[in-house]
Amino acid sequence: MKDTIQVYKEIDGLFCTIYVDGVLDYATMDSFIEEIKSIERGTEKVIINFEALEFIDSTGIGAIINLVHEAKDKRFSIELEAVRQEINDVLGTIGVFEILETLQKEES
Amino acid sequence: MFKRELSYLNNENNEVVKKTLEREIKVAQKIQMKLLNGPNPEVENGEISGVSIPARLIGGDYYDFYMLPNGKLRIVIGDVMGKGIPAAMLMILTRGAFRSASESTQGPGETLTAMNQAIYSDLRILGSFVTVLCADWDPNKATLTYASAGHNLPLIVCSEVEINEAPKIKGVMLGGLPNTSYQDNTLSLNDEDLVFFYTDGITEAQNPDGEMYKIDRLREALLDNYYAEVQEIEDSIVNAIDEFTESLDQKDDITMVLLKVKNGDTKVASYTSPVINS
Repeated sequence: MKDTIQVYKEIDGLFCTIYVDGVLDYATMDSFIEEIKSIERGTEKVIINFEALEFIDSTGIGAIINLVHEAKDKRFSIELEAVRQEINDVLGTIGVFEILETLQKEES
Repeated sequence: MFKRELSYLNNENNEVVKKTLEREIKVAQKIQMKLLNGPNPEVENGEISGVSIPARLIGGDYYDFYMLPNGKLRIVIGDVMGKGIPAAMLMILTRGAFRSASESTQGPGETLTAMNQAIYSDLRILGSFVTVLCADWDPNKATLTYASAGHNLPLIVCSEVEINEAPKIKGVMLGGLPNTSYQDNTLSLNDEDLVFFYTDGITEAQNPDGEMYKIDRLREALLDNYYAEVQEIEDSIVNAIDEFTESLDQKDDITMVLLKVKNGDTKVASYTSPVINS
């Protein structure tokens, strides 16, 4: 498992897709946070593509949770895309999907 | 206080600053270790043991026991987001919330609900969260009632060939949603059953090749040690992880709590059909 991360962003109109490649953890968090911070005002939907995500720790999950709460305040929606089964199980156990669903339901 | 801070800031000797910080961190470590790795409680019809090994000087993992007036033992294990000093500070906050909630709540689900109510806004302000598993061991009925706030479910070892994860139960981490409630699940245990509570520092421990220890190795190590006493099992798991990682520096805190039923008789288990308490 590599100890690095590559994060890049693709903008298509009001949609923004963030691709995360590698390990999203305590040591690699900063570049992910930078991309999140640079999400432009007026964006309607942020898609986080986890297809190439190998591992996520609690700090990485914390960043996702914070983004979900921020999305509610800034009125954009979030979708987690192409999540591998193992990571999907971790996010499910911790409650990420339930938080996402609850907050987005409140918003709509 | 003001004078002390002023002279401290004016002091250009980095060595003094470094030594002061080191001393304070050591005191913080001592406080945490005293609060965390206290004596294991003596329980009726069972043996219990717990250990937490921080990845750094201090950590964000947490376990605790609380003896209830009705003779049950409340067990909690948790993992604060992040590492080191920030996580340790939130761990102390979590411990306080658990102790205080245990005084006034009936079961694990209620305890987690009260804990979330108590610390939700603090955790949100800080952009953090805690996963917690809370369980009540009833030594007279040989039942374990548990609730989860986004934490790994315990493993139940029933023999040297049978190990299962406790039946799934929903519940988001503390600090995830306001005003959320947590449900209980109850299962009956047999004599000699082992309940293993743990944090993900165990399954995510890495060897020099970057390979993780994973749940399968943990299951195997628990089955291999089924007949041992809890303290021996605990030591064996710690050694197995150390062997696997080739003593590489830990990336994450490692915490486990073990409960072994010692009824002296055999009861019919209803492990596969838990009672759901609403």
